[in-house]
Amino acid sequence: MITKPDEPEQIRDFVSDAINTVYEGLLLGAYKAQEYFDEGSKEINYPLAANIARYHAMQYVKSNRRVDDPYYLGELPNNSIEIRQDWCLIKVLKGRNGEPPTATHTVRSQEFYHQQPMQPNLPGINWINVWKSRDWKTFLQQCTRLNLILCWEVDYSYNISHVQLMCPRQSGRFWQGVKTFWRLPVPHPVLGILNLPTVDETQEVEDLPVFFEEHTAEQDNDD
Amino acid sequence: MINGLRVKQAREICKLTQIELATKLKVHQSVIGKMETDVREWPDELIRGVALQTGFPVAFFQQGLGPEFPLGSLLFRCRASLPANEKTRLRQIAILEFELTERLSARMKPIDLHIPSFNEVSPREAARITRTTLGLPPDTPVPHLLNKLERNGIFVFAVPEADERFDAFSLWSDTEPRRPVIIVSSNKPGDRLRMNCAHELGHLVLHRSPRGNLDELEKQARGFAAEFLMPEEAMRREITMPIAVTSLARLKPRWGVSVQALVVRAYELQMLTERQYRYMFEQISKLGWRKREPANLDIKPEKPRLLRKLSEIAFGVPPDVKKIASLANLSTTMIEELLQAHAGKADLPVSAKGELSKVIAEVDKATNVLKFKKVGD
Repeated sequence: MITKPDEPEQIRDFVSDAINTVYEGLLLGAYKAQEYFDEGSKEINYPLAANIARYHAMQYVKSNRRVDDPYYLGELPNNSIEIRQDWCLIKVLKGRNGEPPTATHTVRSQEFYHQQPMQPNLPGINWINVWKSRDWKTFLQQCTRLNLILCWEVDYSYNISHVQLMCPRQSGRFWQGVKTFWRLPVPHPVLGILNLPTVDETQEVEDLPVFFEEHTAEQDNDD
Repeated sequence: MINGLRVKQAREICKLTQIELATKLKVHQSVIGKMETDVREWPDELIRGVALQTGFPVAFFQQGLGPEFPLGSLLFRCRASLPANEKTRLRQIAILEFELTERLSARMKPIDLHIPSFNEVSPREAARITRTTLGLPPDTPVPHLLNKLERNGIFVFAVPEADERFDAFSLWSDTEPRRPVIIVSSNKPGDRLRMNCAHELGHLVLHRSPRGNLDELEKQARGFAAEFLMPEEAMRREITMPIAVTSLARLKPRWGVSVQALVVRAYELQMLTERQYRYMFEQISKLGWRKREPANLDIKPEKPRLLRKLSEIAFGVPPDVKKIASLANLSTTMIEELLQAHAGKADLPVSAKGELSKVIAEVDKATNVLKFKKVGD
């Protein structure tokens, strides 16, 4: 069994490098989408805008991923973004009114939302019941991999308005909405910049060279 | 004998009009008017009343004239809405601080002045030459800016409890020799304080005898400050494409300037289009970072040191406030407030490098450490 953090916040911290880079990419992508429609003085076509935003976000993540970063970017059709990090699989999906989109009709999509393909098919573990369990702790004890959704939303002018990290439990039909184990807001990536050395910490400071007229600097050092 | 200008100075520091002071003293306003224009004897009761209402000791009103900071020489960096009486108060407090510094440094060796002065040089060029004169490399951040300025002979003073709309002002004193003076607000974030100081330094080196309209002078000082704190060459190297608020935010701690200043700089250097520039400011506004940038990126504000250093040399550490008050003919409360706004020896920042050298020194002293020998030694 892989040791995983229990708390959703700890999981969010664990994947913070990946989700912050994607968030930065989405901010850039949303700007590129706005620019595209502004330049042509066209009304925003939202499906196309989402595609533009995803494309630029993807390019941004690709170009900003360092060799030693712990996450990997999946290559998917239609500029979809999928990230793998250790025992986490994160799909980046555009949501609406605080809700992620429901699963599509494909088996793969259904399984992702139901946390199914990630369960080991071992004797003694009834994984079918796992996703039915509403209890996060019970689920976590038995799962070895975790499917997550990074759900992003835009406002009317196509500015990124909310980003949430969610752990889906069951998709439901589109009118039922997605059931989740938990959902957490993702703070703006700027808020995740911590502990960088500041300008004054890079050099020592000497006190001012002020002495009595008859007193020399050498004498002061001797003191 | 009572010096009328001292009465005026005390009244202006208390932000009282002549009528308000007269009402408090139960006299006609013309009495205060006369008091402020003459040097002559006045009834003891009236003087004690003025002293009581303003909080200044009687001796303060009996001393001669202090230095003058002519209004025309002051270049204020503040919002237009800063009231005139607050401007006057700030100017008068600055005069007090300057006068106190002069008195304290009477028997001390003055710090030599090492700042250039320019006439027909572009702000950008002036900033580059000033960096060299101050001993700074051409393309690195400027650590301990206030310390650098003070070490090079500029008097930097902080005004306690200044109006939040006030940033800084500067002037060349009318004393002999003339001294460049920068007055800063003591309650600004570190990045803002550094930008204010660089801006005022721009005024000091570019506008020793200011000519032209104020907007033009301000624009030049802004250009100077931008190049001084964020040199073009370094910015072109460090700001990477595509430019995002996050990537600029990562540069904030290193360069000690606000994210907004970096956005403006990138735009000035044509690294951002006008549309991108507007978009970034929209983002910053939306996140509520126009007035207050995120706390995780805070730069610790530096305090000026000179005034307190002189007090420490003359009257010990911590300085004897009563003795300073008696030297300056001011109240002990006022001296405490002024000293509080300036850095004491303990306030001097200890850098990470400094901490490390302390640790190394401790290890060197330790006797219970096995030292490894190199093969072949």
